[in-house]
Formats: sequence, structure tokens, C-alpha cells
Amino acid sequence: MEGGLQFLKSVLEGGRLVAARSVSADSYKAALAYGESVKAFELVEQPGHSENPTVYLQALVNYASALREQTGDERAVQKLTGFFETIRDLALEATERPIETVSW
Amino acid sequence: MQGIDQKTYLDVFREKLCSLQKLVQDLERGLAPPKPDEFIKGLRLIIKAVETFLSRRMDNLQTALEKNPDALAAQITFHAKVALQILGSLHEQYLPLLHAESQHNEYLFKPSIDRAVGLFTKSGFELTLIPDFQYNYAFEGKENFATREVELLERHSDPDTKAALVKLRKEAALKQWIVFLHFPVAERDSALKLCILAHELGHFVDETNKIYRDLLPIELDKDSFEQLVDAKGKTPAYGGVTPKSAQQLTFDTIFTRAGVEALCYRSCNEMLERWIREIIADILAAHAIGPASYFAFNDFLACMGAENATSNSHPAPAFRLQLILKELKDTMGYMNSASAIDSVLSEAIPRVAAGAVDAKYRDEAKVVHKTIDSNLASLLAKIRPVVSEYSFGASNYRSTVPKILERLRRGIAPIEVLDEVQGEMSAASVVGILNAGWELYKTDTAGFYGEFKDTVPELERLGNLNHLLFKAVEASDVKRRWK
Repeated sequence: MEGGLQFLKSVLEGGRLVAARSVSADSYKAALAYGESVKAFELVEQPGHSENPTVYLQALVNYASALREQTGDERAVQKLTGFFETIRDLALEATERPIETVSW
Repeated sequence: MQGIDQKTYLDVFREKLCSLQKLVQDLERGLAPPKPDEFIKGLRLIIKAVETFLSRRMDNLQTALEKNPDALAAQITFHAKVALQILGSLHEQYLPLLHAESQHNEYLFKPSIDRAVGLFTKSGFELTLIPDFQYNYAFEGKENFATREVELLERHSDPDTKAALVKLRKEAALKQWIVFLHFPVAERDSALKLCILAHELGHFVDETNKIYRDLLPIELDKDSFEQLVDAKGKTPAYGGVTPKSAQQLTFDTIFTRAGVEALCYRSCNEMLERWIREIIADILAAHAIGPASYFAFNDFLACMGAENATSNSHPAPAFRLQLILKELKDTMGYMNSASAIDSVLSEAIPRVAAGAVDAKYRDEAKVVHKTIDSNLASLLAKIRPVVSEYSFGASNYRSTVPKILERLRRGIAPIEVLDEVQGEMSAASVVGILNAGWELYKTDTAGFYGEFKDTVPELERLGNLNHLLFKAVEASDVKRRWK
């Protein structure tokens, strides 16, 4: 849970950096995490909902914090599972390893 | 699952492991000294760690999942695949470097390069020159490359396996940096052209001194960034033919504004980092080797047939040439006399300035160019102190190059020059030798070529100039070392 919470916090930091257009030493990684999380938001939450992912992402941080403190409920588990499964699928899609290359 | 059984995975793992061990051994045998011992040690560490990881994980799984054969088979397959993928990466990423090293000729520059790098970095390093069939120069720095791979395995290990891997990693005690400098194999005999390596070394100095990190944070230019986000949002998101009746899908219709902003920010961030790192390396090279850096870069761009265009990794060539010339003029004191070298450099200024104005900036490149432009003075002010102690300014040039040039003109390898203060001959400065070579090449090839018999082809005469430079660089370093 600690790793997940850390990831979600870096996602929020990425969102803050993008909004401020501020480039810092680790901003690329944070923005990458934020960008992938926004994609996950668009896939699992956004249709028909708000355009702004911040509320959703902040809610995930709250769910993760609650679970770490052992005060979370079933809804927190479902929301986090949905988010992290989508992030995993996006990552797997992005790392295809070709078994053969053909060019002409 | 591709329908492959666990026995096959384990068999091919053992075969792949064995063939890689043999390959490293064979490649090592083919290398001439000095061998890249640290790199080879790192490769062996990774291979040994992967073997340890898989065998220990297997033992552990067989005990833990003894009563669940399906889960055991799935876990063994998973771990074997991870191990096979790491060996695959080793084969693909590292062994070509070892192979390329076996193709090298004598590197007369290497001791001088090691000496120069030692001035700028306290970290342990092993530096290797790699002749490449890509017509390009490149810096490839690997910080703790083998220990990082092993640490990845440690994170996915049970406590016993982790302890075994930690032991292996600590016993290896590798140097922090393994550095490869790639250069076009066709330029192996040109001391003049290889001056570009000073720029590549600038990347290493940047990495070890964390110069780029010290320049941050930087804010991306607001207006051009918002224009980029607007334009990206309107970009058609489907490349195929859209039926007339259908609505054209754009990024805006598929993604949220936040998603498009994140996409634009990321590409701008990446481009900004790359461009600033190029500027750092250009400025460091300009200070380290003076006008030779400008001439080498100018001729390299010509040799590449490069367009004056930006790329994801590099600013426009004319912008960079202008930056180097301005640094030579405004900070290093060049171009304020009627000397031959100052005249050649001064003549280039209007031409390069026109090129810099002509360069086109669109999309991310526009954001990054505007961001750099508005921060350039403060960026340069933070880069210069790293190299100021070793800056080859105009006064240095005037006190070293003419004496070396005089010998070179007469066809003598300028290994040593008279030190007027000490009253004895001392080793010529390597930077002085390279600059004398460039001055002769750019201002008086006719005079130098006139020293040869008419029957000697012109390019052979140029080859002789390069041989004199190589010999002078090597022998002056020997003299410096054994003084």
C-alpha cells in the first residue's frame, strides 16, 4: 500500500507541475505518472463525468490513506483496484517486444 | 501463456546463459589492452545474478508450492521468462558495445581524454572509445549499470535470494561510471574531426557534476505552451479516411483538456532537457578546447549534410554555432584582434547569425526555444563556473598556439615547446596542439601543403597533418607523465 500511495502522490505532484508548466529534476517522471493516470481517469471515470481529473486523483489518495490506516471500505478497494489495473494494462500495452522485425 | 511448458523455458534459459557466458569470454579474448575490465566485470555480475536469482527462486517455489503443481508451473514459467528477458537485454544492449571495442585501432587520444575527464569528476569511471558505423558521435554513460540490474532482481526476491544477490553485488565493487564515446569509424584517422569528442565529454561532465539539475526549475513559456495545447487538441486523432458524414475525431473529442496538457507538457519537458544538455556540452567544449570546438562542430555539420532544423534531441545547428561563437567572443576574449584565427572566427559571425534567424520553430520546438531564449543568460552564468578554471581563452591561445603552430608548419610533430619561464623544453599542451592544427587547416593549408612534393595527393598531405597531431598528442602526454 505504501508503494501505491507514493505513486499516487507523485501523480498529484505531476499534475501540479503540469499546471504550473514548471520543469524540475524529476518532473518528467511525475508528469508521465500523471499523464498515465489521466488516461486511466478517462477510461474508467470520465465518460459523462467531470473533465477535471484532480478530484478523482485526490479521492484515490484518500482511499489509499484510509486503507493504510485500516479504515477503508469495499468502495475504496474497488476504486483503487480499478485504477491500478487500468494503469497496469496501459503499461503493458506500451511495452510490446517484437519477436521479429521486417523491413524493405 | 503461449502454450510452452516450463521445462522448455528452463532448458532454453540454461542454454542462453551458457552461450552468453561463452560470448563474453570470446569477446574479451579478442580485445587488445587496455581492456574494459570494469564493463566486463559488470556483464559477468549480471549473468551470475540472473543465474542465482532463478535457481534460488526455483528452490524456494518448489518448497512453498509443493502441493499446488499448477501454481508452481505458472510461477516457474513466470520467473524463467523474467530471467530470459534480462539475458535478452544484455545480449541486445551491452554485448554490441563489447564487440565494437574489438574493432578499434590504437587510441592515441585516450590517455589525454582520461586525464581531462579526471579534472572534472571525482567519481570512479572507465571510459571506452567505440568506432561506429552510424555516422554520428554519441555519449553513452551508464551509472552503476550492473548493480542497478541486480537491485531490480533483489526487489523481486525472497530474503535468502536477496541476501545472495546483495553479496554478489558488493563483492563486485564496480566503478560508478562506465562511459562509451561513439565516433564514426571513417573519422578514426582525423585528429581534427575527433575534436567533437570534447562535446561528448561535456555530457559526461554534466552528468557527474549534475549541472542540468542545478539549472532547474524552469518555467515553460506560457503563450506558446497554450498555443501548443490548443493546436494539439484540434489535431485529427484518426489517421485513416473518415466518411464524409462522420464527425472528424480530434484529440479534444477523445481526451480531456488535462490529458492533452499532460501530453504536451511531457514532450516539452523531454525536449527542453535534451536541448539544455546540448547547450551545456557545447559551452563546456567551447571553454575546454576553444576555437577547435567551433571548427570541429562546423565541419561535422557540413560533413553530415545536416539541415538547419531542430530535432527532438537537438536545437537548430545555426543556433548552436552562434552560441559557441558568442561564448568565444563575449566571454573568452576571442575576435578582438587582427590575428588569423580571430579573422576566421569573425567572418563566421554574420553567416551564422543569419542561419540562426532563419531556423524555424514549430509546436514543442517553439515552446522550448522561447523558454531557453528567455532564460539563456542565467543558464550560461550557471554553466561557466564548472569549467572556468580550465577555460582556453584568447590569452591562453596567444601564449601557447603560435609556438606549436610554428613547428607544425615545418612538418614537425609539436611534442614539446620552449617554456620561457623555466628555460627548458616542456610538453606541449594538448589543447594547444589541436588548436594549432585547426588554425593551420583553416588559414594556411596552402603553406603546409607546399612543404610536400607535387606528387603527393592533397588529401594525403592532410592525412600527414593529422598524423603529426596524433603523434604530438600522444608523445606530449607521455612526456608529461614521465617528466
